[in-house]
Amino acid sequence: MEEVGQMTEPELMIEIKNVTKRFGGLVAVRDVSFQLYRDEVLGLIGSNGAGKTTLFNMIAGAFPPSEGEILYKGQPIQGLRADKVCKLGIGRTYQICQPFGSMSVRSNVMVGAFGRYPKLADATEKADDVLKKVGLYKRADSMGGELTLPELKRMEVARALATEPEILLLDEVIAGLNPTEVDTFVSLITTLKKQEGLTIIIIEHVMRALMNMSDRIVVLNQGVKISEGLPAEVAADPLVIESYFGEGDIHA
Amino acid sequence: MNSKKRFIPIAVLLAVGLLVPQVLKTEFYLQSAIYVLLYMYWASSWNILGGYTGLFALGNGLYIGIGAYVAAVLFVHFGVSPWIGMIIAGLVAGLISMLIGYPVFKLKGIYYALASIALMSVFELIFNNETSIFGIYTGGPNGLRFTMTGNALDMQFSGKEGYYFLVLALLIIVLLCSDRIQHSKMGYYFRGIRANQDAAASLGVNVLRYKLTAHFISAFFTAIGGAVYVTTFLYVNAKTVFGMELSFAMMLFCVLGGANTLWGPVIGALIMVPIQQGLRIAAGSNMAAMSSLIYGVALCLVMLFIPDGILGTLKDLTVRRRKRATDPLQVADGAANGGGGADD
Repeated sequence: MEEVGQMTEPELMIEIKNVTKRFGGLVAVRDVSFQLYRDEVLGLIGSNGAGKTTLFNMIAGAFPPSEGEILYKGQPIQGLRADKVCKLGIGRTYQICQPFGSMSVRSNVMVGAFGRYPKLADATEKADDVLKKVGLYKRADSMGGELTLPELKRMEVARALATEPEILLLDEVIAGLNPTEVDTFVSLITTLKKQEGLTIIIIEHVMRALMNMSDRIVVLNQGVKISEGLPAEVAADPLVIESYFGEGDIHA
Repeated sequence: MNSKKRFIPIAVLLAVGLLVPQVLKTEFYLQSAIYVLLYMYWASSWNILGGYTGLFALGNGLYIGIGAYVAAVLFVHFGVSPWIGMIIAGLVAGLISMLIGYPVFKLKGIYYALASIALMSVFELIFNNETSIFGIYTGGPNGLRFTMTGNALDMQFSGKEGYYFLVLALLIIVLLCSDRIQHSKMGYYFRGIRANQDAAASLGVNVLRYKLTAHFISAFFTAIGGAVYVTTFLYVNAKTVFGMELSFAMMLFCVLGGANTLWGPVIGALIMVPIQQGLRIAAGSNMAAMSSLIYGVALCLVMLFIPDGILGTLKDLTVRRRKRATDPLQVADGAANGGGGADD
């Protein structure tokens, strides 16, 4: 019998409920709510200071929200430590790459792999496996600090993948790459998503790439959600055009 | 194969170490050899915390002092043999390191270093000024003398050889333990924390737990060294065991030889202790001032010219040379892929 796939309700993975984050007097994120469903790629856009990375940091447990709830498969995870969030199955990359510079690329990825594979040989195998998937295996023995920017971005993805996440938070993994590299990276992420069965939230400034990759897009402006919907809908939203495109800030 | 080859240098060290007393017959040379081994041991203990985990513990001498006093008090007042006393000393120091480590972890970099020195100084002041602590006589400025029994069961030997072999055994144990850590999840987590603790946390590393573990292991070994150290003199004194000199020495020797490497602390102590001993003879009573001067100058030179230490710098050079010589795709990093599949 064939499954009536279209009819089943998509599984809710992450629910952001009225989340606010204050840093002293500054409100970085104000009363933001949205949902992430399984197998989805959700694009998060907004100009600098819109609160995108702050939102990532709260989901990933770098710091707790001042108000509101973050649910992962129905369980509240706001305020949980970063390593616990990781163990639950949420992996992240950093906007500014954070390599362990004095460790080899393989060792970098192994730190991620050890969470699920405590034995050295198993963690090594997992790391090599992931490095092959992201196309960085040939650099496995280089030091983390020796990589070029595109390689660093791949290593960030590899480390996160080694933790075997269900959800991957990608923070500007494409930013700073040239157009050819952007295309390679977009297809890499699409492939990984299928292979690993990932659900992804992606922050990106490169609009062309983001529009192509995302199933849905959430737009933040100065900490407030101003729009949400399919890429075409969002691109046509006058509020988005005014706040985001209107500033002549479309450069990739 | 690879994983067994790692132990060859440790076996060589053991063999050479066993032969040394056959060559160095005089008491003075043997005592110097004991110092060399003891500093290798302390520097290796420091390496677990300051090297692998990257916590700049300037006041690790605190655990030498705790170990020394716990073993001394147990022996003098309770008749507990230092053989058992040193293990208890290690455990007590380990627990204390976790208790005080907890609040101190919130501090990073230089603030952590300052807090660790401050704590050690507090202990020095207390033990130097109070003649009894928790109602137990510790001697204050007079220190505490061990009862002489001459019994090997009380860790008292007739010649120097006994202490020499004891310290050699401790060094081998700490090296084996360090090697084990390096090639395990714990070692990777330590180095991840050292490199970037936020990134490590996002990859599933429980930063607090692993910092506490590093503290415990380092303090445990350091304190055992402290217990043995004062037992060789049959005397413990707060100014010495809680003093800056021992703390600085173990850190400096480790950094000089190459922190974050297995053999760095060994090489650092091998170079520096004989220099220190030579100065002791040359400078006589001015030794204390001279040694501070030498440490200061040596540390500046290391930081300026070889911040990764002797071994770290050599490793860097060989990696670069290998890379130039061979196809970059073929370059193998011996340190990282330890047991990876080659387990026959």
